[in-house]
Amino acid sequence: MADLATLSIAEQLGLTEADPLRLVAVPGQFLVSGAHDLPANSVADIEGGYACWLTPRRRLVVSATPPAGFASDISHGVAVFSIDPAHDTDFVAMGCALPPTALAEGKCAQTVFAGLKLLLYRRHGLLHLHVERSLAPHILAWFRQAATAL
Amino acid sequence: MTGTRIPAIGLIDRGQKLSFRWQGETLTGFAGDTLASALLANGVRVVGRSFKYHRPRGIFAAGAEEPNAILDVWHNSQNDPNARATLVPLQDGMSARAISGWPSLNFDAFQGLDLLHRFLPAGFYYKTFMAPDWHRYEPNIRRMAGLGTAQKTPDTRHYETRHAQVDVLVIGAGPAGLAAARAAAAGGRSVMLVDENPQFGGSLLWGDATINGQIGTAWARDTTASLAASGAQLLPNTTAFAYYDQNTIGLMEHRSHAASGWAEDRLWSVLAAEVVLATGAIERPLVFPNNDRPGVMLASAVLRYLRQYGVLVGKSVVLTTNNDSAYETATALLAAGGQVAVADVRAEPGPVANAAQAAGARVYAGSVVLNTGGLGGIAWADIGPADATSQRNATSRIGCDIVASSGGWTPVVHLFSQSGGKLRWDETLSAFLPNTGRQAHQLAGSMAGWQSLAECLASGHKAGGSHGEAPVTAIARLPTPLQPYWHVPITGARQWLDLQNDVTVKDVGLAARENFQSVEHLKRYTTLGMATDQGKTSNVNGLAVMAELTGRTIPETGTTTFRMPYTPVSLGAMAGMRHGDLYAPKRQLPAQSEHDAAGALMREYGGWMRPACYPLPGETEAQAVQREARLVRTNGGLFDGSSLGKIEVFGADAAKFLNLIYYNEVANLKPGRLRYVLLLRETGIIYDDGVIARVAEDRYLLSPSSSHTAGVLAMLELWHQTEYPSMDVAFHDVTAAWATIAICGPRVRDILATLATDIDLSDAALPHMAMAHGRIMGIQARVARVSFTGERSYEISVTAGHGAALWRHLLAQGPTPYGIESLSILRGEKGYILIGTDTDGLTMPDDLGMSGPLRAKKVDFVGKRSLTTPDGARPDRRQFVGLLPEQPGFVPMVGTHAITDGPTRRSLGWITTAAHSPTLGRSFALGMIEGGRAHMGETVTLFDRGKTSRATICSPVFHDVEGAKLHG
Amino acid sequence: MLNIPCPHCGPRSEYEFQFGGEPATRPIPASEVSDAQWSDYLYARTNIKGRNRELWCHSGGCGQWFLMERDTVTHEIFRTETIGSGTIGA
Repeated sequence: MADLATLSIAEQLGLTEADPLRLVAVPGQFLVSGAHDLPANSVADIEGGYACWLTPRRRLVVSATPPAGFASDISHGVAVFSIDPAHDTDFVAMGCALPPTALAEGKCAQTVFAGLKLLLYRRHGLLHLHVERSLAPHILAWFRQAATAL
Repeated sequence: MTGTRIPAIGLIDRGQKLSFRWQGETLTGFAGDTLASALLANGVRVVGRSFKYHRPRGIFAAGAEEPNAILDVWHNSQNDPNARATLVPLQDGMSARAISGWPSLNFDAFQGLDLLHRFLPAGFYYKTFMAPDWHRYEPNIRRMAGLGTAQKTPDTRHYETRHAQVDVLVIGAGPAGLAAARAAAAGGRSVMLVDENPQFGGSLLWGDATINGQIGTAWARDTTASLAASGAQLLPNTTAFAYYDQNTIGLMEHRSHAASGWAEDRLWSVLAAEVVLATGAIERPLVFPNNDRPGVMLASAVLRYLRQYGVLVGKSVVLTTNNDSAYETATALLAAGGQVAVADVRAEPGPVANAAQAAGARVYAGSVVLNTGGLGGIAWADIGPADATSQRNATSRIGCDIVASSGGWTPVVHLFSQSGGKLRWDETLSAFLPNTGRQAHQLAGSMAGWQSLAECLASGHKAGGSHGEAPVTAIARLPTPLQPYWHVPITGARQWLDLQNDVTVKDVGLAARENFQSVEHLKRYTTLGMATDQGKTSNVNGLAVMAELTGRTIPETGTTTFRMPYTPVSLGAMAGMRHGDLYAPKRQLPAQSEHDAAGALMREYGGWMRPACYPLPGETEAQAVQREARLVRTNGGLFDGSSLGKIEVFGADAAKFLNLIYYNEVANLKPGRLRYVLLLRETGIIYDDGVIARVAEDRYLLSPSSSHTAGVLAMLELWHQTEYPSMDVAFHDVTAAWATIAICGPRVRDILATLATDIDLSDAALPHMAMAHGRIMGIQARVARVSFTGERSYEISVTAGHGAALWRHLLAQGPTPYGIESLSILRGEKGYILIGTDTDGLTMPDDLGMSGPLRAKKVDFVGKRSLTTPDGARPDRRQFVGLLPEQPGFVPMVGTHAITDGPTRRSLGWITTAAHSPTLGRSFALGMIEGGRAHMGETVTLFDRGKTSRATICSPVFHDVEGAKLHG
Repeated sequence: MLNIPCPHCGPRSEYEFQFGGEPATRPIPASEVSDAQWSDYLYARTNIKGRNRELWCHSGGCGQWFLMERDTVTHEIFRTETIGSGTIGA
């Protein structure tokens, strides 16, 4: 019996070159609860990847290997996008009330964007967006509509 | 014809001619015109019929305060049914019509109502048109009033929202606002400057001032350019309509007038460290008899139409005033070749009046207009003493085509008041001024009571932080004081206060006599100030009249509460992008493509798009649902349960914590086992049901219902963070990371055998209500043996990306895919409840017959104490039972009440689920009936919309009562 | 439109928060609580017109509950702090 095939988020969404969102390939994503020393609302490199602050006792770890402790593998459950750098401040201004300072390099923020909760952070200059996989079609539709207003 | 365009004056672009239609007739205007200025330039007098009396009305003002020129405007196949013509920049191809007057504007069939005005005072509809039923009259009264009709075609305008944060937001780009923005920018702060007009400059655009050696318009233009160059955000055509808490301002940018040509309103939510309010002042009229005719205008409007738009509104103008500002209009009119007479209520009008007289105006001191007349407009005005008690006291009749008045200036304090600021009445200025503010703002210009240009510029410069050089202008001579004058002291002839709602001085008198003396009552009883102009030119006059009539001072009478929006804002702009498909986020299943391929009818359930059913070609929904419900039990069923919640709970205290939260005992659940549980609120009411799996000593997997996952997670966090913070436990929502496909029915073991898996699926290893982990076809997976249909059932979970492939593989083995609708029948005939369908906001566990867990559980848990309150112990509580309708083919409607028999009928409860079951071959129902369990076997009357039928109360389990199928 | 300073994330728009009402101390053990006491805990609050303490959750952000001292008339927010850390409330 063959292994079960994977339906990628890209295939599911029908993303094109013209879209203001690009899928970012990440090796894996884990919700990790427990004590940590990440400063609030920051994203920082760690061994094997990087981590985003979610709460004083929870991080999102992006890496191939499951971290130790209470870690849940959500790799399949979260779509990771990068936002077109030419217009990322415009999209943020349209989608949420975050000030630009909240998304400076190395900062991350969970916020209500286009009516749903998601994670934004800036890493290597690029603004990343993590959204629940089931809501990825809605977010893409929102970005496509918002792009017409630019 | 009165209005004409005159050459060589105005800020319009005479090189850009625009063509537009008014009442079907093609007219021309210029770029820079408003619809109002273009209509006036074309000599249009009458633009509408008044609200109650259907009197002809003309354009009155030049700005947001306009009460009469409310028109139905079309452009680029989009419509504004109640557009204020003074705020509509003229565009080529625009088409405008009046919204009142039937069959035509000039011949209105209802103009006879004016003759009946004595029977139509304020509030006439509370006393007349009541019997036999006021509902009969109301639609007709509304239709007669006349307002624009909304377009019936879809609104294709783009609406958008923007958030912004800025150091200084300056509201109003007149001289004070420009000075403030300039100073703030010079101080290195980030600046946003907004103005409701298409051009910045405010009163500079129709004044003749010199600033820093430049004429006002040039200074405004240069200041705007240097602000742009310094990086300030400039938003013309933008109304600041609301001042919210913590310095958040709502702006409406009307981009329908942008060069791009396509219509768009953009709502801004701006958080400003500091707000500068430079909103200016609006002139109010003098109140005199027959002051509502077409051709009666505000004196400053006459001036603005002349200087900004090059329109001479009339050749012969009578001005009436109680202050100096009307004389600037007089001298400008004389310079343009007009004839001017001024009736000044002050006995000694002073130097500006003398100067006007020297320039050719006839000035009547101590006088006011006592009457106006003329067919469809103004042909003459009577002038007489300001203290006249009768119109017969008139001393002169002057032929004229325009009567313009100035009664003083009302500072625009709306946003200041919205922000929580309190006002004070200034006797000298006869105005309400800002007194104490509550938020981080500065006040500048005439809204703060400054009168001269020099003072406005200085106050603006200071409000902006005094950085850089202050703009310099000549210091004006002190004006001759204004004399308060609220209405002509005669009785008999009507004197209008609120033009848009047709409210007169007599109506205020009526309100006073009927004891509606509070200013808030005055407003609601007479409707003064309630129209779309929100009383900008009538509120102060109206409350001053009320003060006089009731022997109070104006500050004692006070103002009504200022509320947003300052001017009307479109609902589309408030909605922004939240409409149509983007109205609410809808979650999609990982195997959606498979459901599409199978022809599923998708529907939204609790925020998820899920298959309602899978109709075969030619099948109706009802047929598909019956077929699926039958085949699941005979052939086997396949269901996508991926939306069910999955919350991982981890920690040394996981068991102890969950036991304090859930109704059922969960600490003694063995690893690998599942339990059906209820979650209560502190009030004892059931919030959710679901299944808990114990994965390990310190790990659980919770499965709340799809629509409550976020709520359950929030509840766990709330209790952990606020009540039990020292417990070592954490919660991860992994719902979207897993796809869960449920397979059930008589052939399920054969189908499972086709899966290449290392999981032991034998009954010994995996009994009912157990869970196992392993790999299926190379993929990490979980199998839970749990049933919502009553059949032997397995829920297979794989990581979401593999969900579609798993579905495909299982479907190929031949089970029937089924959706939510048939599931409802299957679970219904097994008596399995659906939270929120069979339960409501009052249902407690014992109502469902689930009091066992309570007796077994020793520790306190959320809601426990509420179960033993008097209400929780009432014997007549509604209980969950089954109901079999007498007619086996009759499916009662959900919500049908069971009622007592006898003369006084009372509801005993209602039906919560009802369907035709193909397995039972008849209808069945579930419901909540008072003391239901004590009435098993009894029949009860059902009542639905006048019809009655009978049903027997019975056990809610109709099929496979022993539950043998779970293990079959 | 409140701008609320979350103790962890700093000032954020009201859209990101959920109001949790006036905090009340849960009477325990439940078996020793009278019906009147329980009803008070469930439903009775002081509801001060003026400076009041409230529970808020940054549900659209870090998900943390915290205490706020706020004027219910003017909406002025005096301070916010994590639960158990400071002087707001018992």
